[in-house]
Amino acid sequence: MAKFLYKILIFLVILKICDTLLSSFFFWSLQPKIALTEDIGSLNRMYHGEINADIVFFGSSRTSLHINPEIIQHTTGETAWNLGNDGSNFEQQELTLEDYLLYNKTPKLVAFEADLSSLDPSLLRFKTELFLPYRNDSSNAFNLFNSSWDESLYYWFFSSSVYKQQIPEILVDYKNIFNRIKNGGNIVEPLKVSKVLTVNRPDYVLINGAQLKKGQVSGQLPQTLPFPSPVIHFDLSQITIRERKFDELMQFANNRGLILVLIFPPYMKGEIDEEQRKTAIDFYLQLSRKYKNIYFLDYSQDSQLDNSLNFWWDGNHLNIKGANLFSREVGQELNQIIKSNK
Amino acid sequence: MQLSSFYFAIFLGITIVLYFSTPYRFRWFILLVASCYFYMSWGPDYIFFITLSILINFYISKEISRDPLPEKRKIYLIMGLVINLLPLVYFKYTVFLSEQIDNVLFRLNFPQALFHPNIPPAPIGISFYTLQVIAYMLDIYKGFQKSENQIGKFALFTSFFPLQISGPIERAKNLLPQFSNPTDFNYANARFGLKRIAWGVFKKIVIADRLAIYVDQVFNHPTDFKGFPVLLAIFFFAFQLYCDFSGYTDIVLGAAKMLGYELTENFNSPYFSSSIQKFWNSWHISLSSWLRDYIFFPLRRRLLRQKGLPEWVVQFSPPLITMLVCGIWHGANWTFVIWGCLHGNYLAIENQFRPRIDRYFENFRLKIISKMYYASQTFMTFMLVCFGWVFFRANNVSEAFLLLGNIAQLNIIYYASAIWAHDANKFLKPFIFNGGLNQGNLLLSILLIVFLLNIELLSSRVDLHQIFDNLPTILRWGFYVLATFGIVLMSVDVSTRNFIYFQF
Repeated sequence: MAKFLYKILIFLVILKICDTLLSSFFFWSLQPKIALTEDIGSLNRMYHGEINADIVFFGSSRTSLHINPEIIQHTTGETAWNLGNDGSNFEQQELTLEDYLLYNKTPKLVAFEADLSSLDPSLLRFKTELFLPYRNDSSNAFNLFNSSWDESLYYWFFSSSVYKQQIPEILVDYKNIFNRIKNGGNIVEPLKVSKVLTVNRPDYVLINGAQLKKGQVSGQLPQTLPFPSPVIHFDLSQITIRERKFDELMQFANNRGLILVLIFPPYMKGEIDEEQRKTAIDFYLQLSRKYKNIYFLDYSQDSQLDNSLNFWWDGNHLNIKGANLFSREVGQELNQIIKSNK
Repeated sequence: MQLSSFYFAIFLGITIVLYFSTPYRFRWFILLVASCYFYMSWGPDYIFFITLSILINFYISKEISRDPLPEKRKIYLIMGLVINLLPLVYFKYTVFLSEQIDNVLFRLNFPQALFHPNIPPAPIGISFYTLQVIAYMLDIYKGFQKSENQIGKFALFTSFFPLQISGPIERAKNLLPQFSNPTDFNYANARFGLKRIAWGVFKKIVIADRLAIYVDQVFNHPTDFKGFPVLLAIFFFAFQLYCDFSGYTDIVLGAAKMLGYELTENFNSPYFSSSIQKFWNSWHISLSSWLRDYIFFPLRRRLLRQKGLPEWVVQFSPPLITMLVCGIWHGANWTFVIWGCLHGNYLAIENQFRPRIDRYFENFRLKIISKMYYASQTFMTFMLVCFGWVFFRANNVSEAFLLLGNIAQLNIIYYASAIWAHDANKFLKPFIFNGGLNQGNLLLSILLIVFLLNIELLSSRVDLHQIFDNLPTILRWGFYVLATFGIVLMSVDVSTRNFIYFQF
């Protein structure tokens, strides 16, 4: 048996070496892609302390596509920036806020997306590449993936598995990899030391970090949804664990003297489960009552938006018309909140 | 402790080292301790239940074996059967039975439900070890098996950790002697076991869990899907279930092999079966052979002995009743009852008509006709099995019929226009939806199924293990590393989904 154990040990060592190489390759391949596409330079601006806005929005695509900072600026009279990120989850938003405060002046108000997906821990590993910018200097980011000792051991052994959802992107993105090899591995410098990237992608409309996809601007709902999508169900079984996370955020905001606004974005009628929606609303209302300067805005059943197909791009994303209308509504509410805190 | 988790890998490694480092006569004790730990890892609540069950069963089986009077032995046997079946009925069927009684009472104008049983979750693997112990008692009663003298080994027979969750349902004559005659560590066994575990994990977390994403969406939202997406979900479920359960079996058999134990094979390429009977000879073999030996044959023998019974009763009743029991064993839901009845009917009709048709085609001079007949029968069997799986997977009977009705709305013009326009995106659009698989994963799922079927076909013709073992070391090790990363990087997620048969 000693021979067998010895071979197993050698095999494990080989696995760890291969994993380290693979992991480095994935990171090396994905990082420039993130810098180029994910936030259209917003994170780079943030790391260079060039945002310094009074109102900053953090959230997923339902923030990046729904909030037009120009309208918010116009309505509130304060500078606004949208740091919403496609596929981003609560943990990533929290890390972005922490880093934002390190490099920029403290904003007057921080708006955080707080919907059903923020309460679903299974979405933690959705779009793991969004954690890439933090991987270098934040042990918290990596710890997010380890909920038990065996999982920690697993991720230590197979750290490359963190990138598994992005492997198709790496494979497809051969041009990027080829260019990097051609340029001695440096097409884009590491995020924190790079110059500000100004990426003009033709399929995006950029307004203070907002990422309005062109398709969203002109999209007509019936064209994008020829088949009805089913009601989205979320895993709310670990809501108490999420409560702790939100508590930490609120304490952090309180300590830093931030006004924190939690925003439940609108969903098209019937898109989310009604019982789950009610559970989430109760959860956020109770949380917001616990602390001073914490507000909760519920747009989950916005009567202006949820009944009209004209405002939607798909079941959970507004089109440009809807986004502008929604931004006006949010702007007015934020205006009230800022005034009441003066 | 999920069998496909890293936790289990560590647990198994420690158990193997401890097992082979212990003197022969105490090895069973190491396994018993490991089995207790494994059982308690699912929740410590039921350890007293299973201990009590072991003590009672040990005593009763000893009495059946010892008592010279046939009447007394029969009484002990009946006692044993009742004691084993009662908890099964209590944990699995009480809620279902109370609902049915309530339904009847409601129709008789009783305004409120009378029964509100609050049943705790069933102990892990209760359905499996109950059948194992019943078989043990029946074998002792018939004189095919001697009762085990050592309570520790009997406890291990009931709770052997690889078998705890979902079998295979082992026979005492195969397993008990192995506990008394432990083998030395065997390098070839360990290597074979590891490879088998890896193959099982691949089937579970790469194929089954990926297919489950699509299947769950369609079967949980039956009103939202029509036509081909429903058909695809049914085919996907067929392979999800197969990869899930056979993957579990591969892990179990591989783990046991590493410890030097040979367990019963549970699958033998079932979807290549050319008849329903052959399907049941190669699907969940340990259950189907149990049903055959302890229900089908005794029932058939009894009916044949009864004079005056119509021929059709003798022919149709045994498969129908056997498969009905099989359905009910799987769970307390009318969907399983219908699924069981369906298979019972398949078998009964097949037994009646199939032999004559087979003889006709087997004697055909043109070999191509025979081959085509065989292929068409394999396809037909697969379709019939898939039809049954709709009831097996659906949440309730009305949803099963709804899904079957939705298949009819094929929307052929839409797909034809997509093909005509060579527009793959348009063609695939109905199959891509919120919470389902993206285009890449959908195509990967189909490729994985094709890969699986090819491996099965190949392994039925050549000894893949032998070919693989003859490769140069560097190639083999290279393959091991590649396969490990293949599993890790292609898996849907780590230890998130339970095995389907866990619920039974």
